[in-house]
Order: sequence, then structure tokens, then C-alpha cells
Amino acid sequence: MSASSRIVAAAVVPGTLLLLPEYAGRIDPIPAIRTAALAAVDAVVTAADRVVVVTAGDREPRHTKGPAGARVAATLLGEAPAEVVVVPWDAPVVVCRALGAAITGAEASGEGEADQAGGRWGLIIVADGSATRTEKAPGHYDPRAHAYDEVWLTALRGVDVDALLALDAAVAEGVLALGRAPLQVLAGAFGDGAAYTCGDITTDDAYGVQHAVALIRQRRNSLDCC
Amino acid sequence: MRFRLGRHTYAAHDRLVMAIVNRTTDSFYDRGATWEDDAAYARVRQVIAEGADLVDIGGIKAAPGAEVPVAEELRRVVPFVEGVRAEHPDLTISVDTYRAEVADAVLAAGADVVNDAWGGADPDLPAVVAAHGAGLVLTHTGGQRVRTRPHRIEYDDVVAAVAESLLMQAEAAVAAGVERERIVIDPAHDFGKNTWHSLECTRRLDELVGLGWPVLVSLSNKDFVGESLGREVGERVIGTLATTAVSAWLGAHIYRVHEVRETRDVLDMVSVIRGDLPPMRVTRGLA
Repeated sequence: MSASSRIVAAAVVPGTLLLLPEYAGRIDPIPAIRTAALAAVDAVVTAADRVVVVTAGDREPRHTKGPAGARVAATLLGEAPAEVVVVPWDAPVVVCRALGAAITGAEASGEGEADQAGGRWGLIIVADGSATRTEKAPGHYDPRAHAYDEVWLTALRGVDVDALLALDAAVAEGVLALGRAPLQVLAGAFGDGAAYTCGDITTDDAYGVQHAVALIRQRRNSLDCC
Repeated sequence: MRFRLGRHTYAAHDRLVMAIVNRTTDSFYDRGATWEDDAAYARVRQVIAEGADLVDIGGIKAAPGAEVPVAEELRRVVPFVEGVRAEHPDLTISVDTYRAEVADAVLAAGADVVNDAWGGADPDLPAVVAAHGAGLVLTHTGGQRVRTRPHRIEYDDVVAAVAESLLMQAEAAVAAGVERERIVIDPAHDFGKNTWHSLECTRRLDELVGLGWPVLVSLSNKDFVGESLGREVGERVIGTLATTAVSAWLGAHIYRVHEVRETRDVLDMVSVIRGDLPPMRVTRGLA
């Protein structure tokens, strides 16, 4: 059994501040994303004994509240406990991949103890796409945005680890995609990815930012095979 | 502090729009626009759609004019109150009258509140309101007689006079059996007041709010707004809305108005600024 097979489920959720209660108005501007994100996180919490949140650090932190992604994850998790790993938003791919492997490896190194204490791990990956999809987007329109988002969403759908690791950090920075590094941590944690399958992805870009919610699960046959 | 109007209960930070619906031929602002039944029912539907929390139905214009006997006032308002109640079961209906006899009839017909715009002119009114378990709006008129204009009225301290009168009326209403939570006080801008007095009542409205009773203000298109800006009737909406915003900031609860949609926006904006109400929909810089 590969170490990565200990991860039984991963949710990808956006890090948008629209999900935080302290910024909520009377009308929820992203009800479909919120519903999907809560459901995906709940699925991970239900499936796993230990939950690890992976989020990028803020690009321009001007406060002491902690990374937005960590707070969004905490909101979605509610009472459920989780550990939080913050990856610098601009971490190089080799760092991200190694971090993902380390998360899995740390779990594997515990051997029997880990199997008893927390044999089934779940990941909450806080990751957005570009923020430059329209003229009114936070970063205005960048013609590279749609292609970039298509690549990572397609990669998620197919659990294509190589495609996630191939995301171009410079383009991601250019289109203000804060999710690139956490997605590459996910890829590092998934090994070759063959053991996983992705359900339907909920997407929305009404505010010029690519939000997406995905739930990736371990394939049943890989659980049953041994 | 909480207060109750009709079937509804409100908190101290709520800000309500009371829409004026005149059943008169000669009121100063609308000049008989809702004298006809169809127009009056349409006005009620419209103000509800625009965000009114309650309506104030009146059969006699406040200013001097042709005498309206009790029978005529009853004819103007009682069937209309019945009709509005039938069409809008949850709507809080207030009736602007100073007559106990009219109050008794409209409360029986389904009204919830009596707006005693002439400050206790009829001493029997509170007992009638109490008997129906209804609400009562008390006003300060400085002893001015019904449907007269103030002439050379002066006060040492108009706000103190208003507070004293309203507190006395409120306690008398409670003694007469009106529920404490259904009593509202109104300084009555322009009633027994010159423009300086109305401006001082506006500037020091927080003192009246501090009395602990829900405060109604009736500012809409009034002379003190017109004199302040040099604007005739018909040109006072912006001045009214500015006064509304200041009054809302200072804590008044109920706003008796002609312009419902505009007032709703002003009140909601103040509520949002004060943190009493979340903004409607927030995405800027957050997505």
C-alpha cells in the first residue's frame, strides 16, 4: 500500500472572504459555492479521522488575523478539529510537492501508532483560481486567466497530478491565482493520483474570481483490493 | 427597550416607515390624491411594496380648514380601515384622529394604533385605546387648540417642555390602561412650534429618545424644512430626507412620511452605518 492511500478524501474549496460570517450581508452572494463547500468539507470530516487544512498565506497581509484561507476553512469546519498547514502563496513547485509528500510521510512514519490514532486522513485544500477573469475582476481582465483556470479545473477533474504540478507559478502570480501552491501540495500528497477520483465540481466566477469546490475520494477498489 | 405595534414587536434599534394615507380632499401635500377609494387602496398596496411598516390613515387635514363633523370623519375612515384590514391582515394600521368616538369605531374596524396628532385634545381617547388593547401615539402641541396654527408661542426650553408633556401623557395613558409597550411619543414638529423650535427638537432628539419610549417623528415636507431651505411645498423632499437621516442617527424609531421608498433607503442606510442592520449584499474586495 502506498503511503498516499492513507488519505481517503480531499476537498478543494475557495478561500474567498465571502464565506466568512464577519463579512456577510443580508443576501448571500455565493449560495451555491457555500453549499457545495460545506458539503465537501463535511464529507471529508465524515470520512477521515484526522483532517489537515492546506492554505496559502495571504499575498499582502496587513493584519494579524491569520491567513484568510485558514479562517475560511475554520468557518467551513465549524466544530470539527483540524490541523492547519500554511504554504507561502509563492512557494516553488518543488517545495509544494515536498510539503505534500511530507504530510503523507509524517502520517506514514507513525507506522502502527498512526494507523491506530488516525489511519484515515482527509485534506481541506483552500485554493482559488484566477482573479482576473473580467474587466470588473479584482485584478482587472487578464487574457491568460481563462486558460489557466481551465488547466487546473481539468486537472482536478481527472486527478491529474502531473498537470497540477505543471501549473506555471509566474502565470498564476500574474492572474492572481492564490490557489496554485496549495493545489501543488495536494498533488504532492496524492502520489501518482491513480487511487483517487473526483466528483462533480461546482464552479462560479460571478465576481471575476474563479471559485471552485471539488471533492476527491479514494477509489473504492483501491480500498477493497487489499 | 422593545415596543409593539399591531401584531409586531420591535427592538430599540428598529427604524420603521409609517406611510401617510390621507382620506381628505385638502391635505397640504397630496391635495386629495387618495380621496377616492381606488386611489387610496392603490396607495396602501404601493407603500407596502415600497417598504412601509405601517400606514397612518387620516380623515381630517391638520391645518385649519372646513369643519369635518364626526359623522363625516367616520364615513371617510371606517369603511376604508375595514377594507385595508381585509386586504392586508398583518399590516399595522394607524388612524390619525383626536376624537375618542372615531378612535373607538376605527379600532373596532381593525385598526391597531391611534395617532393622537393633537396631543390629548380629547381626554377620553386613552381609555378607548386601552379598551381595544390598541397602541397610542402621543404628541406635544404646546397647548395649541385643534387645527390652529402656532402664533407667537415661546418656550424657555422647548425640548424640556416637549419631554414634560409627553411623559405626563404617557403615564396618564398607562394609568388609563394602555399597554406600556404600545405607547409612542412624538415631539410633533411644527405643532405649537416655530421653525427654531422644530430644529431644536431635531438637534436634541436624543434627549427625547432617552426618555425610554419609542419616538415617532413626523417631518415630511413640513414648513420647518421649507423655511430652513427656502423651499416651497413640493421642493422639500431632500430636506426632509436629510432631517430623517439625522433623526435616525439620533435614535428615532418611527417616521411618518409621504415618500416611502426614499425614506426606507435613508433609514436602512443609517441602520447599516450604525451597525444595526447588515448591508444588503457585500462582495466588493471580498471575492
